[in-house]
Amino acid sequence: MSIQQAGSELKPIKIWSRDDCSRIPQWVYTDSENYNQELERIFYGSHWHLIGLASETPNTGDFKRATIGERSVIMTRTEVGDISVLLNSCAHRGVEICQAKFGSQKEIMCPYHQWTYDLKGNLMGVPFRRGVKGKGGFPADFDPAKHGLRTLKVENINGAIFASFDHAAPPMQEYLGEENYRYLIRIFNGRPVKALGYQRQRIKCNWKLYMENIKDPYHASLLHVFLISFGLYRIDQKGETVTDSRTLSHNVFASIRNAPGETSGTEDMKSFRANLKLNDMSMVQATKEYDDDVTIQIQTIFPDLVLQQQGNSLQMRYVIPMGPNEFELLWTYFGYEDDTEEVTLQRLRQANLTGPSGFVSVDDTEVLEYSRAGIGPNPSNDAVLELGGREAKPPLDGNMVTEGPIRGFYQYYRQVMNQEGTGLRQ
Amino acid sequence: MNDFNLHLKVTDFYARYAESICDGEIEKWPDFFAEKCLYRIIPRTNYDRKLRIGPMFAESKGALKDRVVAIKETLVYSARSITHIVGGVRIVSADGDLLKTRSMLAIYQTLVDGTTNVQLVGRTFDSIDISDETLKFSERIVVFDSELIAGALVFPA
Repeated sequence: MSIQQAGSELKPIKIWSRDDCSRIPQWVYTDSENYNQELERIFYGSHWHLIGLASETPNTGDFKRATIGERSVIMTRTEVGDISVLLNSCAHRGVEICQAKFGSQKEIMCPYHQWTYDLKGNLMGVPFRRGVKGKGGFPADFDPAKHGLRTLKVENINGAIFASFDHAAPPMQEYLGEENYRYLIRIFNGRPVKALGYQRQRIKCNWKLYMENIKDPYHASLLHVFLISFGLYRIDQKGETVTDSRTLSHNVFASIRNAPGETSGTEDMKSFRANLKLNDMSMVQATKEYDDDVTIQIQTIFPDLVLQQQGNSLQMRYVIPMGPNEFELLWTYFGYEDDTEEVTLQRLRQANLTGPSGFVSVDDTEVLEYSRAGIGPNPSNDAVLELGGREAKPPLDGNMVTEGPIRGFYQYYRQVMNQEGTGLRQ
Repeated sequence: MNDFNLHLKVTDFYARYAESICDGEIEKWPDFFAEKCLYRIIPRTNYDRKLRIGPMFAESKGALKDRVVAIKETLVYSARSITHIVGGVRIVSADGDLLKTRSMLAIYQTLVDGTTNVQLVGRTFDSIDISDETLKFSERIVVFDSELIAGALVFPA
């Protein structure tokens, strides 16, 4: 038997050691072939991705450049006022048409040979179509209608714009399932939203580890000393865990902040530091703005979006893979158009918790890079996920002492990667 | 004080500020600010669009001290060396005891086992209170060009 067939430490046979997802083979984080399949089946397949906020392109012709997987797309406000999302690659020779992050234009023109498209991506004109002085030109049967920009399926959920490469993808409400959709429209509830700003990081680790990190309440009470020491998060926090029961891949953790001092489990938290007190308490002063008492909502939408409410800080964290070993994390912080200056200031102050310098997020960024350092040279090892059992089923009682949501993510991931469908249409 | 001496005093202040961060004496950093102050690090792309989100934001010396506690006591990060190169310090205008100043800044970061990398480059737009013998920033806005931040930005700029 050759080494190739048997597999080796650095070239393991690409299988999962168990039927359940309590073991994750580490080649899923390192293998280039697997990564390319993820792009094709997950990012360019029948899934939805965040493009931006409708308010970022308010007027006809306004555009914003966005990314899905490794593909650049252009979000544009069209002549009739709706939003189009178009592949940012000319139908002529494949050139990336648009480099600006934001802008406004009457039509979309490729800089190379000036092929010109309308705001919905229809090819309007090509130079020298009839040639010059009767010479050259396109064949008489050249049909511009067949050479438009590739269009994506678009859905506008109360100002949040999502797109999919697959026009047969189910509508967002069906895609997310009722309960997850309910949390999405808890934040995007019809009050017009506006961007407060963006932050971008390049993190050296596989993109999936970021989604796992958000689906992992185990680490939050152990790693995030700032949160636990200042009483901003407790593992015994009253809350609700919602998992889409069909795919197990979209989750919400919704919880209510405990009063400081009221906690349990700290004896197992070696890094817990009692008696820390903020000098400037304004960072944690929050205004109630929803009909319920939820102060923290963390939602993961497969494959690449995290929607978070942390007090008054509202953010979308969007994961853009850059090969198997690194990804971009794009943060969009937002508020509502009718916010008072004081509420906007609260959102800005609380943004200190998250982002490239976040009192919480720094820990995650660092640990994710340690993950890559530890996993990269060891692709034949398995990760062990047995907290809360071995099944992918979500805990029904809202308890957060579980790795169930990560197992659920991988159960769905395996299904999609094995081309067994999304399980949404039966 | 004549303009030349004031300029020397301001450049000396910028140098000491950078030293507090680069010498590993981060606990001294808040002392370069007035009690009530505005501190912000912000990407150029947000600044140009008049958006205010950035990696760090504080409105008081107390909030800066909270960040020092986080850096020293609670944040998890690998060891690193930081070197600030400060240039182009200029007094833009003076209004009583308040100077508007600006500077150019490059921050180099070296991780364990790592080569040295540029972490941020940018411009600072500041206000300095000169009413006391010891100068204080009443405002410091660091506008950085880097579109992608490599990993985490742990230390202030």
